[in-house]
Amino acid sequence: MTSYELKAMLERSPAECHRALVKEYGKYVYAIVFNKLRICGTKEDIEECVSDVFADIFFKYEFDENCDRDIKGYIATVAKRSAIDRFRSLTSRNNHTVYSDDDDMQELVSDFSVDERVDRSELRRVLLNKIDELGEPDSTILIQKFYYNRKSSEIAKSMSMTDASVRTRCSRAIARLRTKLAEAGISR
Amino acid sequence: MKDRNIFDILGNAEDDSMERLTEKCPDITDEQIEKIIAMSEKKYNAKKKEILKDRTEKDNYINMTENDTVEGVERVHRPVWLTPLATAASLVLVAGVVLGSMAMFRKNKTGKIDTGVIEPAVTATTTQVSGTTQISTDKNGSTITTTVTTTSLSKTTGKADGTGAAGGASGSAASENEEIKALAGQWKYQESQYDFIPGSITEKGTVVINEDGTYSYNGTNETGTVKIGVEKMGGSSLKTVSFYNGSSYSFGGYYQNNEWISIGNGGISRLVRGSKADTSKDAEYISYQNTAKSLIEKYYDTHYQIMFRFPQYRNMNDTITFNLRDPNLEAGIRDVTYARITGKGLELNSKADVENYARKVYSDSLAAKELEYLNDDYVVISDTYKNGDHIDETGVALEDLLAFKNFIFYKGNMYVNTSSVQAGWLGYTSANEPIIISNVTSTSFRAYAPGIWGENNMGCDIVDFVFEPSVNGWRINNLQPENYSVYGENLPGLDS
Repeated sequence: MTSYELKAMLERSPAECHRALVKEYGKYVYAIVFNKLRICGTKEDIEECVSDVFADIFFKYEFDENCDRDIKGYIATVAKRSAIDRFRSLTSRNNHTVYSDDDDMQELVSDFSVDERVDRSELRRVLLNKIDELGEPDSTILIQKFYYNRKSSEIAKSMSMTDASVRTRCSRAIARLRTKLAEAGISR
Repeated sequence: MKDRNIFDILGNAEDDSMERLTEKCPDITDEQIEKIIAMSEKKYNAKKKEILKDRTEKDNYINMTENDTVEGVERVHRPVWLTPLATAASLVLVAGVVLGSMAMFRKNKTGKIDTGVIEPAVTATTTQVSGTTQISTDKNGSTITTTVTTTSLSKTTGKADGTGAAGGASGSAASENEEIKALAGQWKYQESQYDFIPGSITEKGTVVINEDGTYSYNGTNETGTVKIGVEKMGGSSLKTVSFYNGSSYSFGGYYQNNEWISIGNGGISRLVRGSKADTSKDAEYISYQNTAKSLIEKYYDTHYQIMFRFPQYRNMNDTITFNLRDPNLEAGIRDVTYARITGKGLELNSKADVENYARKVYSDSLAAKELEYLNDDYVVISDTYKNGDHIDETGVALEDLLAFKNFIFYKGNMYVNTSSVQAGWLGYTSANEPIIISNVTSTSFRAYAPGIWGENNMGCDIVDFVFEPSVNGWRINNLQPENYSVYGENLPGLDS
């Protein structure tokens, strides 16, 4: 979907356009918001934030004449900023101390050194590489299980597998990942 | 690396990592999409309405046609009466702010309840005794002395500013006296952050209210006067009970019923007596809490999905190493070290030991579902191998390779793979919030147990327990992890 297609659809039917936007980019926005709020927010906080993002986007596309922008990049920026705002309000409300290494959140972690940030960013890539090396469906099972905190039964349903099979694959995949990480020098 | 869920590292990902995580994001359900659309539309419409209203207001003052040029000076007529009126309005506003602030400061005194009614500051009751004495002689010649006493009560009510009327008791004062008399007796002063669930209550002392309107509180060794008042709130009236130490307000709250006065506005403290103060069943409730906590902790030890908590019991001074096949490495082999599980009073040496340990936690029906998974991670290694030996695993399927197993049995002992990082992935029951117990019968009960997963992820497990006659004890029949909000939803409420 291009910006001009979006604008045309908006003129035809705003409701249809909004629905199309959520269907097309809902998962993308959810993933970005989840990434920022997974430690401090509840499921309801995340959904609330996702709806803030879309309300903002609906509004911008209707009232902002300058619509020839890259939709996905624009949505990502709005999602990231909204999630960071929500993160700040949640952490100040809950008084949580949360790991954070995002450029936009440096003021929240004043004792965070640059070296550690670089290492962490690299660590993230290594971890994702090692998870990808496990191949499918194991890499998706692990990410959904331990990062997105989904239940085995939910993963099983979405991947057309049995609960038991998800559990077994999960156990074996984590053991293999552990080995891979140990070899890469990542261990306790 | 810290003991934590290594997947937490994926939080705050930069763009390229974010793309990879998005690919693996679970699909959003139709139900979630509808919910998000509904919420977004609502917010969007509210914002749009606000902006359009603002624009319309501005547009109503502008009447232009295309190519019009705007020039000149706008004349504004300012009525002469506006200045004195604005000055007067400012004074009223300033006076309001000052008086309002004073009222708020008065209200914000600890636990202070604004009764909305001017209370008498001092109530004194005077008892006048007068009598006549008659002396007579009985038939036996003894002297009898009879005293006839007449008692009268008079009430003096004074206001805080020193004014007041002296003399006979007024109707409202008499009514207040009756109300105080109804409160007379011993009250327990309690505090609790969690709706006074047993195990969360702190006893602060005893308050004794006397029929004459005085009180004593041994928590702070104070004495003083009790006042009854009324606070209007949203069209309804609430009876307030205030305790004055001398002329200064000490504490107070709302009268709930004859056995319960809440203290302050937050429902954290209260005075209770009678059945409300009865703690005879607390010990039983706390024993259910303790049973639940102990079994849930063991469940976390054994639960398959968090890969067991056993590694934290490993003894690194008692290890065995084998050279094992690992197809993930270029070399194809590596040394894997296993440590015995003998720490923290837990010693497991066989599958039977593990099953027995698990059966101390699971009901028979839960064990039937869960224990089949326990077997996946165990392998017995022949006694013929020695420490440091290479074990030939030619032809063994990838998922059965020893290097990928968490636990081995060797020479009658159980060892855990020390490559495991799982000890940092633990869940544990929360130390602060008390477990909520409900639906207690002779054979079952339910617990709402707040827990912490990883570092900061609060949750609430709904745990159903059954009594297993075969072992004469309680076992977990089902454990369902839920959001932390479930805990708040199941707190019993202040009036429980």
